[in-house]
Formats: sequence, C-alpha cells, structure tokens
Amino acid sequence: MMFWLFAGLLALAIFLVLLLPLLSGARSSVSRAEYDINVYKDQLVELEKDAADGRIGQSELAAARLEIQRRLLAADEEASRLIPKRSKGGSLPIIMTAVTVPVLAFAFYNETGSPEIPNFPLAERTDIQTANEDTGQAPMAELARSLEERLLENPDDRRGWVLLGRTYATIGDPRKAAAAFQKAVPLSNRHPEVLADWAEARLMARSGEFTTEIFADFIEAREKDPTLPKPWFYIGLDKAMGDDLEGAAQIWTDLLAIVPENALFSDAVREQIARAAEQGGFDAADLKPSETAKNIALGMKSSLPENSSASSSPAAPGPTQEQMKAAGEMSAEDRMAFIQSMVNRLAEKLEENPNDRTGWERLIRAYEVLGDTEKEQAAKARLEALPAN
Amino acid sequence: MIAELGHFALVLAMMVAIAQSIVPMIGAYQNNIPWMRFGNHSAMGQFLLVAISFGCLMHAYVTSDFSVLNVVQNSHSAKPMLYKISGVWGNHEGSMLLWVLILAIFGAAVAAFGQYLPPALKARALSVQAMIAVGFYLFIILTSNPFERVFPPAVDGQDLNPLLQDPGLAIHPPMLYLGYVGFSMAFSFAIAALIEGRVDAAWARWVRPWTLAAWGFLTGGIALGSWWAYYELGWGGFWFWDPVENASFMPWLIGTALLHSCIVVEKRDTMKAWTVFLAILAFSFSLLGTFLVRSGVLTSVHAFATDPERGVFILILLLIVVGGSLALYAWRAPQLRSTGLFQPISREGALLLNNLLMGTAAGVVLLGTLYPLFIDAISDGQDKISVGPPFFNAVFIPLMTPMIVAMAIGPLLPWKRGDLGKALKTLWLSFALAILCGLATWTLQSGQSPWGIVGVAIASWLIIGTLTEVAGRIRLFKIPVGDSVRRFINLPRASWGMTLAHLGLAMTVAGVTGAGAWTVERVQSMAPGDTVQVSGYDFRFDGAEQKQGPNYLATEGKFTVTKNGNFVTVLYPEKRTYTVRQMATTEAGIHTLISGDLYGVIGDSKSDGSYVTRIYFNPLVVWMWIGAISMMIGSGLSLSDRRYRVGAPTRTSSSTQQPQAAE
Repeated sequence: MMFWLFAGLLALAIFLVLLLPLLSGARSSVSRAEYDINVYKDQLVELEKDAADGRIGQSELAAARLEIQRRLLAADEEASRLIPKRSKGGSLPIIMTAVTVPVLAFAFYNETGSPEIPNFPLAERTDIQTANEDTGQAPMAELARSLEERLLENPDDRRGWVLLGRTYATIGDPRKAAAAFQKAVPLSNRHPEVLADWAEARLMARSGEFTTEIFADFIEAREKDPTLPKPWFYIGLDKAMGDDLEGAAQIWTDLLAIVPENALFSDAVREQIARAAEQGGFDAADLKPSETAKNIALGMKSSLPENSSASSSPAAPGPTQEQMKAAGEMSAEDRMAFIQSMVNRLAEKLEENPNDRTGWERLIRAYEVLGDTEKEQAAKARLEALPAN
Repeated sequence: MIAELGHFALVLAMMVAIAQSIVPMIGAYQNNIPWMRFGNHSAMGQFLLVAISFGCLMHAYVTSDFSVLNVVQNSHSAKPMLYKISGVWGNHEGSMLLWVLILAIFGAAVAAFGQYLPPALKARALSVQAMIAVGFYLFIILTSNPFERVFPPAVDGQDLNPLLQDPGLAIHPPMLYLGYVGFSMAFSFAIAALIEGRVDAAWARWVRPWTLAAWGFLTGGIALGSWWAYYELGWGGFWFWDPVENASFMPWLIGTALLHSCIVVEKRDTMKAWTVFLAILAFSFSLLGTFLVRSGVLTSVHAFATDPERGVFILILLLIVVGGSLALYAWRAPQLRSTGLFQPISREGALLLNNLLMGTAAGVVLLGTLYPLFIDAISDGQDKISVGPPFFNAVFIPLMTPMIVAMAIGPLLPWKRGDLGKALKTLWLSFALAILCGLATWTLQSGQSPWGIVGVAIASWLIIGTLTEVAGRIRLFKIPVGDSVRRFINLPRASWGMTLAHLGLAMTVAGVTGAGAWTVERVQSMAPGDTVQVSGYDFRFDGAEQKQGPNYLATEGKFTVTKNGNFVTVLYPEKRTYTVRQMATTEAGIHTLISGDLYGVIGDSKSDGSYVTRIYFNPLVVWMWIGAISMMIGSGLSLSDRRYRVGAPTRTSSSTQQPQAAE
C-alpha cells in the first residue's frame, strides 16, 4: 500500500509540473532575428576590444566591422519584416497531456512491475540466519574460521586447505570453499580429486553456471583419474544444460557403471537420468554403458570419450599418450585403492553426520567386502549405539 | 518497494518524454508560447524522475537488496561500499539507466540555462532530445530493466567483475557518458535547425558550449579509461586500438572537428551545412559506440545472433536516428545559405583542414573497427581477421603529423585571407627548436623507430608554436613587460581555452611518443633478493606476501628501486584473486617521475619460491595524463567565456527600437 501512496504522490507531482506552463503569463514572442542581432552586436563589441588591445590590425578591423554591420542590417530588416504569427491553440491539450501521462504510466507499470514484492535489505533479513541455525551450522562456521586462521600462518598445509574447502562446502558457502580449494590445487600438484572439488565449488558459487575454465578442470580431473565420479557427473550436467539430454543421460549411465553398485549418490544419479529421459522423451532403459565406461570399471580402460560439450565447447586438450597408457595399465591394486578411497570418504561423511543409519549399513558392508574385520566391528558398534527412531 | 518506485519513476519518465517529444514541437510550429514552454517543465520533470529512479537502484545496491536481479548479478554483500555504488553503472542495465540520467541532466540544463535561447529553437531541440530519450527508455524497460525482481530473494550476490572494482573505473563510465550524451545536445540543435531551415550566429553560439562540454568530458573519459588500462591490465600499455576504445575515440575525433567548425559558423556565417552534418555525425558515432559495446557484437557476431533482442533494438534505434537525420539533412541542408567567403589560406581554411583530417581519421578508425566484424559476418565465422595497432599506427600517424604541424600555424592566420609566409616567419623559433629537439632525440636514441624523432619534433613545434601565438597576443617584448602581463591576464577565456587545449594535445603527443617508442620491458623470474636493472634503475625484489582484501586474496610483491645506490621508491604490485568470480587481476606498482614511470608487475609464483615479474620503464607517460587534464581545463575555460552569456533581446515584436545587448 505504501508503494501506491508514494507512486501516487510522484504522479501527482508530475501532473502539477506539467501544468506549470499554463500558469506563468504568456509573454509575447520575440522575432528570431533579434537573437541574431544580439550576437552580432556582441561581436562588434568584441571586435573593438580586440582592436583596442592590438590583437588585430586596422584594416582587418574595418573589414570585419563592415561584414558584421551588413549582417546586422539584414537581421534588423528581417526582424521588422517578419512579425511573429499569432499564437494558436488553447490550454486544453496541455491539461489533457498532464492527465494522460500519469494514467499511461500506471497502466504500463502494471504490465511490467511487481509492486507486491517488498524491500529485502540484507541487514534486515532473517531468512538467511535462521537457515544457518536450523541445521546447526553455526559451530561449523566457527570451526572453519579457526582453521582458516591457522592456515594463514601455515599456508602450505594441503590437507588443511582441502578440509577447509569441504567444511565451507558443507556449510553452504561455495565461494569460500572455492578459495580454499584454490590454495590446495597447486599444493597437491593439481590432484584430480582436489581439482574436481575446486571446480564444483566454483560452479556452486556461480549458481551452477559453467565457464570454460570450470569445464576444462573437470575434463582434466577425469583424464587424470577416470574413476572419480564427480567429473563424470558434472560433465554430464554441462551436456544437460546444453540441451543434450540424451548425451547427459549416457554420461551418467557410464558413471553408474564405473562406480560401485551401492555408491552413496547412485540413487541421485538414477533420478537425474530418469528426469532427463522424461524431459528428452527417450527411454532410459535403452541406455547402455559405453565400452569405455565398462573398461574403466574393469580397470582395463582403453580410451576416454571425446571432450565435446554442447554448452561450453572448451578448448581442452584431449588425453595425452602418457595418460592413455597410464590409464590402460591401471592395475587391480589401483582399483582397490579407489574403492578404499570411496569407503574412506563415506566414513568421513558419517563422522560428520553420525545419525545416518543406511550410511552405517553401507559402510559395514564395504568393510566386509574389503575384509577389514576390525573396522567392521567398530562400525557395527557405532550403528548399535544409535538410538532407534 | 523502493525498487518498484524506481521502476515506476522510470516508466513515468518515459511517458513524460513522449509528451515532450510532441507538445513543444507543435508549439514551435504554431508559435504557441505555453506549448513551447511545456518543453522546459517536462525536461525538468524527466530529470527529477530519472534521478529518483537512479537513486532507487543505488539504494538497492547500497543495502544489498538481493531481491533485485541486477543487484544479485553484480553485487555482493562483502564488496566495499565504493564498488557497491559504482556497481550501479558497472553493468549493462545500470549503465543504460546512467545513460538516460545524463540525457535528462542535459535536457534539464538546456531548460534551466537556456533562457537566452530563441524559444522555438529551444522547444524543437528539447523535443528532438525527448525523442532520443523515448528510444532509450523503451530499450531499458523492454529489454534491460534494472528493476527486475527475484522472489524469493537470493542469499548473496555474484559480485561485480573484479576488473571493474577500481576507483578509476568507478568514474570512467559517467565521464564517458557525459561525453557521448553531450553530443546528443549538439545533435538535437542540428535537427532543430534543419526543421527550422535556418542556421545562424545565435545557433552556432548555442551549439558550441554543449559541444565543448561534451568534448571535455569525453576527453576525460577516454583518458581515464586509458589510465585504467595502464595500471590495471599490467602490460604497461595504455591504448590498444581495441574496438571499445575506438568506439569512444571516433566521436571524440568528430567532436573535435565540430568544435572547430562551430567557430567558423559564428564568426563568418559559412560552413553551415557542414557543421550541421558534423553535429549529426558526432552523435551517430556516439550511438554506434553504444551499439558496439552494448550489443555483444564485439565478442562475436554470433554472440549477437544468439541473443539478438538488445542488439537488434539498438541497431533499429541507430538506423532510425542516423537514417532519419541524414534523410532530413539531405532534404533541408541545401536551404542553408552561407554568406561568408574565404581564401584557402586563412583561419577558416586552417579550421577546414582540421575538419578534413579529423573526419578522415574517424573514417579510418571506423573502417579498422568494423572491417573484422564485417569479414566475420560474411564468412559465417570461418574467417577471422584482426585489425590491430600496425594498421592504425600506419594510417593514423601520417594523418596526425600534418595536422599537428598545421595546428601551430592556424591560430596565427587571420580570417578571410592570410599570408602563410608571414605566419611561418613568426614560427621561426618553433621550427628551430623542433629541429633541435628532433636532432637531440636522434643522437640520444640508439637507432630505433624514426617516429620517435618525428613525435618529439612535432610536439615541441606545437608547444613553442602555441606559446608564440600567446606571446604575439600579449605583444611580449614589443611593449613594456608590465603591459604584457596585464594583457595576459585579460585574454578572453576562450583564447585561454584554446591555448591550454593545444598545449595539452602537444603534451599528449609527447607522452604517446615516449611510451610508444622507448618503453623498456624486462620479463624474468626473480627470487627474493634478486636485482634487475632497467633503464639505469635497480629493482630489487624483496619477496611477496599473501594478503586478505575485503573480497579478494592478494599476492603483494615488494620492489625496492634504487638508482646508483640511492633510494628512489618502493613498488607494491599485487596479483589479486577475487573469490566470488574466481578471477585474477593485476595491480601494477607504479612510481611516476617526470622522465617516465617505473612500473612493476608480479605474476605467478614458481615451485622454487621465485616469481615471474615484469618490470617496465615507460618514458614520459605522465605527460599524457597532464595533457588530457590540460585539454579538459581548456574546454572548461572556453565554456566559461562571456560570449555564451549574451542576453536575450528585450524589445517586443511591435517595437522597432534596437535591442539592448545584455552586457
């Protein structure tokens, strides 16, 4: 309501301003030539001054004076010959204009504006703060700050920066997360996992808008370690944002083939594929993992898919001979190490969020497969210690 | 609510502009005084509304109201206050709002200070100006509305492009726009004159101050942009013949021509059609510049094709304004009668030469700017050529050299018919000193570009030539020195303006020559403690440390500069990484000396703890900025000349008495 009051006052003010020309009495008009006469007379004065100061010679003075006087005479003659036309037209058109202008403005504004949305100055907003309190993130933010202070003194601590980045990512501050990962990337010699985390954080900071750099980093991470799920997921996402839904679904299908069956995010990826299939109008069941993906999954990886992207079209280089060879020679040990890293990550996640029952169940199964009885027992104990819901 | 009020004020301003483009025009035709006066009030009203609108957007930025899309996209809660404010025009939508605000300021200025203008001319000019404004209001509201809302509001913004987070760039766009939009006033007067079918001395007197103001601001805007590129981009360069730079340089060249031809119209009642043409051209080039920068055409012709809404809108606006005004020109210009005659060797002749050279220069820049776009478009993106500094230097220097030579002679020639020999004789000292400076340069420099020698010679020729002209005016050494001093103080401000502007150009030429011909660059990897010598100065790298800015992380390097063991200065260049946009910027460390700038840049660190550093010695650069400031002061002084305050005639139409000159 306040808005309409102020808008109304503004419109009223303009209405009055536009009526003003009617109020001041109409002076009779002066012939146009008389303005010229004024200028010419001034030129004459200036000319005499120039001559008096010795800036121009006597002959120049005479010639210039003659010329200006001739123009003066012509203008004077015009002024007396042309009597200005009498004024026509009344005040009604102006009144009508003054009324129409605000009316049209209101009509136009109604089409384009959103008068119902109030101000949201940051200082008075409560929604952001409560959101943080609800999820108990305040202590984590505190933790992040003290970690950051420590890191500024000891900036070469790669693991510290990674931890800081993940903490910020969890709190939901991707900008600070990106800044932290950025520190870790050179320290880790562009380790694919760190690189992928960095790219993800930047992507989040840009509200999911890809840049060539971000895309290139995901490609690089995938080239360095084709078993990392994150790059596959986001490369697929980039395809989906470029409207290549089927291509995206294909990449995600490959991802599912590469990661262990019961990986944490598998359900989320399946959901993505299903949504892409629905939007793109194709059957997700028709999608089969590509040969490349199967090879990667079997640790016999031969070659990577092309790095083409619909929306970003980056100039990322293809895999080098060395990388291809290294990937092809991926041993059973490497594959084991990968699974181990996935399990460790799950364990880390559960430390942060220990109330996740299904998570603990997955972890126990994973330890069972790996044959790590000691940890399996510890995890079981943790699960049993949880209060039943 | 405040953002919505800004939106409403903008819509209301558009409606007022529509009324203003119709009512005063009919009023002028029918000689209806209140209708004509309507233009004054509506211009004031428009200014009030756009100012409110602009203030509302600024309020949204200052309070970080993330329910306004424009704020979300270009601001961030952690951004320093200065850049929250400058962020208002640091983006497309906000800068267009600034464009119309300045248009409204000029309109209101005509309404307020134009009480001595012939009412019909004023009414028509305001009406034409309102038509331009309507086009831009529509553009903003329909395609680039800065008041678009998002609901629910975003948590935080995406920050302003870090390259724009800089004090120089905070005031660069307003200056540049004051220049661009200032030419709209000359344009409106030109169209009004064509509609009236008369260009007279009163007209010329009234176009020149607007052109002067626009030209002064444009000079400042270009210089600021160039200064920013110099310290922020970290290449030691200041002008790259980049299309965006060219877009602002073309109106400057034509504006310079217009400035000079206006003098001829006022003093000699000739070159009228030509002057009107230049006024149309100057604003057309301003619009072209806006189109090039705002449509996305510059990044790629295809970027334009993928999101054509804005580009096509400005293109249509450009076609209507340029096409319409040139058609009107073709129809009406033949009716403009000129009475003054002049010989080729005369003041008028010299000013015409200036016009021709400036016009050619603008044409050349236009060709160099548009040709790559044209090739890109017709080859469907297959062929990309770039027209760079080699082309511009090859065509620009030969055009500017004769112009600067003529610039010293022109002011010495009398009106109508002059004696070239006599003028040249006066300039013997300039000639001798120019040769001397050229020879000195030739001996000092070790066989590099010949343009360095030419540059120094013509700069000194112009400086001494301009001072000679002043000396002649005050009859130095011909009358007692005290009288000369008195004359010096009493010189008209317009003549002061000319002297300062011409000296400013000479200084700029000297600076451009110095930096262009003799810049010394050293790129190397330096570990803390390393020293590198550049042009006799020893730069010792004292290491780098990490710093935390309000919204960026920085690596700050430290260079201690000594000459022959004596301390000179310490440079602190920075390499900043802005966390939100994940973009890096460089902040060069600069120490300015009269002879040149010491310029240090710090780059990436290497694994062994050393840093890539670039050290420059840029000779004479400071003279460019001093020159630009001198040109701006010159335009201001000329603007304040008493000639522009000649009063309005007071007699009524029935009387036959002589009018009183309001002195």
